[in-house]
Amino acid sequence: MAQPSRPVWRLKVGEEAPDFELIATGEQAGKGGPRNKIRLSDYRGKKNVMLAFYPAAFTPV
Amino acid sequence: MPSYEEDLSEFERRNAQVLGISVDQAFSNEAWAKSMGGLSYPLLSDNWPYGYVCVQYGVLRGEGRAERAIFVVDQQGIIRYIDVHDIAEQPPTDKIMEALDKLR
Repeated sequence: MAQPSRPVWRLKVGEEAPDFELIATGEQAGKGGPRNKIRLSDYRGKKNVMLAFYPAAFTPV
Repeated sequence: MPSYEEDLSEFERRNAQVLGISVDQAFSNEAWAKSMGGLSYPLLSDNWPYGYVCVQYGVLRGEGRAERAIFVVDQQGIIRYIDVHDIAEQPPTDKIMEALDKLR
C-alpha cells in the first residue's frame, strides 16, 4: 500500500474563510426558536465572526 | 462552548457574532443548549454532508468529531486568527478578544 501523499488540509491566517450554509438552532440556541439556515457570507460587511468548533453536544467542557 | 455566553457583551462590543459548529444534528444542539438554560448565539449543524465544513477548515478528527478550534473571520471574510486547541481545553478567550480588537 502506498502512503497517502495528500497533505492534511490547513487554513492559514490571511486566507479567505470557506463559505458555508448550515442548519442552525435559530439566532439563539435552546430557546425554542425556529431553525434557520446561516451562511457565513451573510455577515460580510456587517459583522466579524468567531467560529467556535466543538467536539460534541453534551460533552463536558 | 457555554463559557462564551458569559462573554457575550464583550463580543457584542467588538461587533462579533459567535457561531458554534459541530457535527451534531440541530435537535441535539437545541436540547443541549436548553439543558444549559439557552445560549444567545446559534449552534450550527455540520451534519449534511457529514463534517463537510469541518473538513474544509481542517478540523475533522479521525473519530469523526470536530476539533476544539476557533477561527476569527473579519468583515471581508478573511481569517484573522486561528486556534486549534487540545480537545479537553477551552481556547483562551483573552486571545480571541485581542484578535478582535485588532479588527476595529
